[in-house]
Amino acid sequence: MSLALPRLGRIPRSKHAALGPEAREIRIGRLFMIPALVAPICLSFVFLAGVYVTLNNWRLTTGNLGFVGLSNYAKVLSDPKFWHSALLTLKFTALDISTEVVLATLMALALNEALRGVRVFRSLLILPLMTPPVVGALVWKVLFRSGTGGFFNFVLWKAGLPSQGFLGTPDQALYSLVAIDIWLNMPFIATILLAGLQTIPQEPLDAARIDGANSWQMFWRVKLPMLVPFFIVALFFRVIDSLNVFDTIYGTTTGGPGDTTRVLSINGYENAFPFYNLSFGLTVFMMLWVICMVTGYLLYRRVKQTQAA
Amino acid sequence: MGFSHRRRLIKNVGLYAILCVYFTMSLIPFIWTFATSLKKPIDVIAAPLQIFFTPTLENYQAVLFNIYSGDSALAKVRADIPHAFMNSLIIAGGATLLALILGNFAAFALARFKLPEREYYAFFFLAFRFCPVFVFIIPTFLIYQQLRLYNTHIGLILIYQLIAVPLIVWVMRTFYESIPAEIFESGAVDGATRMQLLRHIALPLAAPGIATTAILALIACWNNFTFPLLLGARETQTVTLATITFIGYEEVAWGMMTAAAVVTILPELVLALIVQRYIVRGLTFGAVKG
Repeated sequence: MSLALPRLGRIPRSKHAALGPEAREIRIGRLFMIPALVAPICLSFVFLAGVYVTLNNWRLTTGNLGFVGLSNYAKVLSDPKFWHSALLTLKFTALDISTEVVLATLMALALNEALRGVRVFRSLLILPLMTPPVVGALVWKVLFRSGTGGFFNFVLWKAGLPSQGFLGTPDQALYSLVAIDIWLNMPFIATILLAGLQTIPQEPLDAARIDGANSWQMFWRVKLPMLVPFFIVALFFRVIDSLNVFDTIYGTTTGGPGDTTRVLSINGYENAFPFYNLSFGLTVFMMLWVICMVTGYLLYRRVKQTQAA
Repeated sequence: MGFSHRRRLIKNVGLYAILCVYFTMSLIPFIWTFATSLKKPIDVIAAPLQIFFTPTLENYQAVLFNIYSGDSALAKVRADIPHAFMNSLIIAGGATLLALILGNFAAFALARFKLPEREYYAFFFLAFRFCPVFVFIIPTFLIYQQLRLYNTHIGLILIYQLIAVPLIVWVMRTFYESIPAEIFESGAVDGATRMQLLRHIALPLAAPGIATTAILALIACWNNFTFPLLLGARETQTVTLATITFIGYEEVAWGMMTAAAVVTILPELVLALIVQRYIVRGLTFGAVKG
């Protein structure tokens, strides 16, 4: 199994650590760790500074107006706009990830077949993944343009179908953004699943085939169970990124039309910068941080379970 | 036999059909961007859109050499792309280099030394990947204004360590782990010190891994948008940021914007294809070694 997330456990203590060559190794190893730890340790303090900012009334223009305790948290939690954004974030993530998982599974299975030219397809798969999300979003903004000058509306017009507003219409904007995000990130899951499929040994597949299993049964009974750890690792990264989606929305709708795409990160950003309320904006991000940490922890525990099995 | 052969044929045709549909959809944005970047402003806004048009390099002249030709009411919405490109090179390149220096030792230690607490280190690095970047950006914004690091290359290089260091530690670790342990043991028997082991044995063997990891980190830094958006201004504007400035309040300079997008993406796609074998490792921080 080529999965290597860390396992946490108790640190064993050696009684005579100071004597042996192992102790020397440990000491040098710790010395080697120091340079890499500088950045994360500094950032931990930055995070704590952030917690302090949320306990104050810090304005972009006038600076700190004083300590306010937990009142920013109370304000955020009683703000209907916050709850609207939170639900929207969950809706976006659910739509985005579920569609990506299904498409990515199909794509990985197809790309795992011994077809001529499959290597070319595998190379092309990663291209959207390497595109900066904000640039990818801008590119789709060009495709989604209204009127017959826009690519998709031109295709619809040619097919005799009515033109659509896409990013510009309240009831389509979120789905259009999901489409952009799928284009950008579905290859991530597909690439991981493809790597997973390639680790499945031939014997169980042969055995199943001899027992008369068809392709459908082979997938559900043999391949899928072996892919579970890869699904979880892919979800581990994708769910968090989807909850944090910012670049694609900033580059296209910036939360509009109305509030229909104002997810938590856009909400927090707008409060902090365009509306000058750094403390309030950061408090919104602290809530998002809690959501990410809980989700991350739950998925991380699943990763460890699959590793132990 | 004939029956199974035919079934196989049908299956393959079906697979090709699915792959072609998906990849057409997936590549249209790239093709469309490139096509738009070759259009004159008048052709860009033509409705219904023109499949055939006379290509022009006007947009690339504007984007690559800051030569704005024609009447161009669009010249108002302009960005200094060469300057932004240099900024991206300095910031992403500098951040990658610094992260390599900081992270390489740790990656080696995590892969080779029996540190009892090593999984805690590994988890500590990974945890940063799961925080919304804004919980760091907003306090950093305030700290940087105090320290006069706001809108400086150094300031951005430092904050990019948030994404670069964990990535380098995790991915380099998998490369060091793939070097057979016996090589180190024979070195240790010959009386080499740890430093000598790292310099004379591990580093040369790991050089391709280092290059690959560096490219992955470079791409991750190049693609970042939120750091330069909030911790920089005009002087440190990167290409991802400059591309978006073609969207003005009144008009969008689609032609120039897509030309800028091509300039931003092209070097990355070339690099990505070089290291594509290791891309899974980079994206999952080595969690999947594909």
